[in-house]
Amino acid sequence: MEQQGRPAVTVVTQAFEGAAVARAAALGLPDHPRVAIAHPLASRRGDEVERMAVAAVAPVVAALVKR
Amino acid sequence: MPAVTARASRRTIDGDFVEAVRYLEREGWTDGLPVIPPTESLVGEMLSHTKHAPDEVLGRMEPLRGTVTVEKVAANAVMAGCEPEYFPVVLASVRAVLQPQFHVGSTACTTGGSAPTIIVNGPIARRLGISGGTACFGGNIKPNATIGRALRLVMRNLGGAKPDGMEKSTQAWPGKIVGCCFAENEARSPWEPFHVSRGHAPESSVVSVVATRGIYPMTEGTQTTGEGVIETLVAAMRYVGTPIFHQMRNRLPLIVALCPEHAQEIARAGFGRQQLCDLLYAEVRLPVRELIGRVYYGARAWPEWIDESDPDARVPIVATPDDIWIVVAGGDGRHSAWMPAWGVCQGAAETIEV
Repeated sequence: MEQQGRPAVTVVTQAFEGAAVARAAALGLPDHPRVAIAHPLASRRGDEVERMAVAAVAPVVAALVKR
Repeated sequence: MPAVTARASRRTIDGDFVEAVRYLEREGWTDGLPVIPPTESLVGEMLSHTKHAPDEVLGRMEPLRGTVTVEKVAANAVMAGCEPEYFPVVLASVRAVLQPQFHVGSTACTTGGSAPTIIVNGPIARRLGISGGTACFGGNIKPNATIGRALRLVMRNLGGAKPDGMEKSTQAWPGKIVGCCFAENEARSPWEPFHVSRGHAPESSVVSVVATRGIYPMTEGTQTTGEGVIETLVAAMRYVGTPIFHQMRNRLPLIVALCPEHAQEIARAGFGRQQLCDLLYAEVRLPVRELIGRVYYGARAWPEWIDESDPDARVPIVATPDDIWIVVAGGDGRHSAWMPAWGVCQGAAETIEV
């Protein structure tokens, strides 16, 4: 999306943050913004995921606006 | 970004063989086992077994998009311990995983820990001694072990999926080191060779490659009829705990590797390969009630005809009978195996250029 000119941010759980950094660099986007959230995600209840999503909104917006 | 060069770099290392091996380990270019240092002359020998130019670019290896050249593949084949005459099989295997429907990047990184299984068919298997007989999955036969390892080193060193970065397997399996390369045991198969059943000429040699999560054994040592053997195979593959039942609409292949004794008994009971595929497709199913809320239910990819409101609706292990790859492999004894493809890997075949 970013390569098509649309600002983007990647949300990733902490366990995959290193992989996200490496992949972004491989795609030529070393400064691509990311927001790391707690790991694991898959085993959480729906209401917990919703709380995490709400908490992630502010850092996601900040990462987009900062640019 | 630095300019992409199609030629591998040259480095001079002071010291002896052991020093060179340690250097390669320090650079992060090995899989934890010793390698043969890829000297210019050894790589040259490897390259003498292909008509392709050393700087020919075969593609980019995901996830970190390293440039894959014939020469770099040759260097990794030397490191893996391949004899030069194995090189056409290694090249074909690399071309197979570079096909888009193989999804090599995600299969290399996934927590699911998949690694490539390479099935070799045709005259080249006999000529090179690629085993489809006793212990053929075990990695203790030189061409089986080194061809599989060469593909894994190419994926690792050019694709960049290493345990300190993109490699995210929760556990993985030993196929991450040597892959799982074997020939079909065409001599003891009651059916035409697997590659012929897929439309290739009998005189051609072909690799069929799938990223698999491991080898699931199926033992049947009591039944005396083909029907009895099939019943046990079906029961073994009705297995909760593999995601393939949830991911089947991705057109994932399921390798069913029958030992010669099982295959011959099934054939004596009147089954051709296609009939066996059809029967396994019809019978290897799990009811919706066993799959709801389990494994990868949240990411399920089921066709619309599966009625989830019916707890007894039966979900097949693959999307179509064509997705079942039946091959004959192994020696004497009564042990077969199944190997489900991982995630999004649809498998790929390539003709071996000889």
